[in-house]
Amino acid sequence: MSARPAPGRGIQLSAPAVQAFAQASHDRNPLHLSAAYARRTAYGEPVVFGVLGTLAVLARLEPPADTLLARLTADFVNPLYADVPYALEVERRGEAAFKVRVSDGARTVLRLKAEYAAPRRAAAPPLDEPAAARAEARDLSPHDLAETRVFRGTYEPEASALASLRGLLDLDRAGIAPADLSALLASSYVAGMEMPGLRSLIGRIDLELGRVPEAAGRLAWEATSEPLDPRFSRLPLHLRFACGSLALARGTVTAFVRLDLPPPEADPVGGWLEPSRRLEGRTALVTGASRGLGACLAEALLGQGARVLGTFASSTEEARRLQDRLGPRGRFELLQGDGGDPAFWEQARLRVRESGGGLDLLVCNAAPPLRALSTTPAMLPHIHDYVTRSLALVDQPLAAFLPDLVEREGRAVLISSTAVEEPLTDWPHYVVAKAAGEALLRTVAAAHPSLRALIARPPRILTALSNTPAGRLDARPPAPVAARIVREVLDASRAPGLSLLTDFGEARGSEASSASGLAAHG
Amino acid sequence: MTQDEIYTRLHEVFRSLFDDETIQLSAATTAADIEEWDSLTHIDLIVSVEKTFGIRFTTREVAGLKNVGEFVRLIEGKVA
Repeated sequence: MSARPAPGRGIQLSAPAVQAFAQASHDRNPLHLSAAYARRTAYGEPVVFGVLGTLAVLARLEPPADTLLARLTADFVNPLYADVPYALEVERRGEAAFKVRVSDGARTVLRLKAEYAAPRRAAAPPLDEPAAARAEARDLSPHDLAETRVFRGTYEPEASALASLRGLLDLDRAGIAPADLSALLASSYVAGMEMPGLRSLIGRIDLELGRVPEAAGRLAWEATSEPLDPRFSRLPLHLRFACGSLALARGTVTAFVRLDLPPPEADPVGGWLEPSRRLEGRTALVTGASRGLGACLAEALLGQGARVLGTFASSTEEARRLQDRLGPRGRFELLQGDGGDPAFWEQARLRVRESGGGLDLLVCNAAPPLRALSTTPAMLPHIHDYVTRSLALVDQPLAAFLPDLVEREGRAVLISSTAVEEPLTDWPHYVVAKAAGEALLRTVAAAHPSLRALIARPPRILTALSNTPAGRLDARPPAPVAARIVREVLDASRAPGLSLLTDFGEARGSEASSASGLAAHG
Repeated sequence: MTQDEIYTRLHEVFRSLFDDETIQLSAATTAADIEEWDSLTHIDLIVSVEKTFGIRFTTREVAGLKNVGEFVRLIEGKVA
């Protein structure tokens, strides 16, 4: 039978289901539970636990009576998000096997294979050893994982939350033995809390299950890692679950270790752009300046003698570190606020006036947190919302400071993207927002001939947005990109009007190579 | 090892990894031609090919590949 859409049989994970899963599994990894934490990752928002999505799919299958789940393979291709409807395409392979594709209508987010078999009868005495779960995720670094590590423990889901989860997902008909359900939850717990822990991102789960109905949910577990592959930060974990001498589930979780971004001080912009006093007496404002490219742009402008105001929305820790690093130069200040709020820009305008007269350079760099979306009816409201919020981060500061820029023959710079010309299929909202920002700046430049306007379309930059195992492969460090943009700003030969910067040179040195043609989608 | 021999073993890797016995590779094959070839399976593919041929790639080598033909030439250079 071929794959077919299953109308009405999709899945949609609610926030209560996410909370119930976290409590039941003891997996409290903040990537799934903390909006503030997730915002600083490439995923933009909390990601639904992959095992939770898997259980929701298993609850939609109709295995033969008197069988139990015997083998499960789940590939977590793209993140799942709460309250998003996902469609299932179910291919039945023989009587007792299924292959399922889960998508948001366009993009695959999860691939799953499930095989069912008769229960296995075996004596399963209860495990006396008390279960113990960590309250906070262990944070193992790539260095910690360079060699094989082995962790062991005793695990048991939290009973009342598990009962809630069973009800929310309708799991009682899913054909999963209690001990095997424990093993599935434990797989999430082990990767998310024990090894690699905090930095974990599960790519695949491949488990053979015990199918012993009599076995209780308390299990002994053992996880043995292979040495971390530093090229892809890939960490296979071999898992075994047992109840006393009775071996139950076993298999492999392929986790990825989310790596920290290199600290800005490791690659100072001054190494890419000779300091000068060419912007002395000028005032610049950079939006989204607390981290990534924005922080590098602020540093680069400061290095040319400008007084620099940076704005940011919520990355207070990164802002504090940047202030500590650049503040001693005496011409740097950060303002926190909602960049879509006109009142914030009025406050910023007054701040510029108080301490320097007027603005000479506006760099619109900020963008809202980004997650992948598809152009499906269910996703359109999210796309519209993103475009509106993103455009506000350009039009609000531009409107607030345009009189200054026109009067002082200043410059307005928009940080756009190569995605405008080479669209990223997972980010239609980003492409539309950048194109709209460009159109706005073009129009403003046409209306105000004394303005020098620059649209910069840098290639993919290694920032929180691109910091995924695959995304890092072809991303460039932000410092040389910022230096290139500021060099263009300094170019005195530019006449008033609009110019476009697309030439960022070839990647070289520590920079990554060009985009991969092979891994074109996903 | 000849390119034909590499293609033969590469077919085995692809068919096993993508669970599809009908996959036919050519020099022009790219990820767009195989439904489940995404960024996740790309990394699995690289690791599987390394194990099969007893070789190791750098991130720069695998990030720059444009199609299977380039991949085969890269493998050929490593096993020679």
